[in-house]
Amino acid sequence: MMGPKKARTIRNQLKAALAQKGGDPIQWLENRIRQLEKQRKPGANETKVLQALCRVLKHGKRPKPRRTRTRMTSS
Amino acid sequence: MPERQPRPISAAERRARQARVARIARRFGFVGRVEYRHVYSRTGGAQYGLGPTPDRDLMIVYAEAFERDADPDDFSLEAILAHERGHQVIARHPWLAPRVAGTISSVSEEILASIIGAIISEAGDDHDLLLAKATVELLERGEQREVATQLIARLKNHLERLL
Repeated sequence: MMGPKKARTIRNQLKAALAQKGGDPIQWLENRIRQLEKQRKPGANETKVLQALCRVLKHGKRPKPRRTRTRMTSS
Repeated sequence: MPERQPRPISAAERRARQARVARIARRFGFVGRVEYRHVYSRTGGAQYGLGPTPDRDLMIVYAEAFERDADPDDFSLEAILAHERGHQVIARHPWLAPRVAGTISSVSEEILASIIGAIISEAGDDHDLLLAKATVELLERGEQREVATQLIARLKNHLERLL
């Protein structure tokens, strides 16, 4: 089950959890990405995960979906 | 006290919702029956039910999934269904299922379902948010941020190879 936690809450919790010792969570993610890129570990998927988390913290809301109307057709 | 109910919708809208959830579930590879129920649940919007055989598995999608989808601050319908398909993969994958059945906690299963959901999601936002959900669940269990992100990456690597 997806659970009732909104995406906004997830984003806020992620921000708080990554901001250990009062640091900036985005800065921490970016520093870690740089660190991993320097190490160039083979198959290291962690950079991609960190980039995804970074986008979540930077972007905020997703675009509102288009409302789709139900069309009735008569035959 | 009466439970809160979703606003009534027409029969045509109900059919459109049913068709949409079935289409999305199939796109993610879901096998079995997909049902839309115009009631509120306490599931977050959808639920996976394990049947006696894969073709008798069930995905039930509830009214709040559509309300969440309309809220730009919340998960999309696609993300919610991708997560549920994740549960089916955990239960049905020939390599994965026997290794996790009865051996992992419900929180761990939720984490795996979100990672699988992220892998099968096509949209970037859904992928990213499902990974964030999995990471937060690990962090809530007391993992250090370095350990949590490493673990999510490792699990994602393994699961990508399996799927």
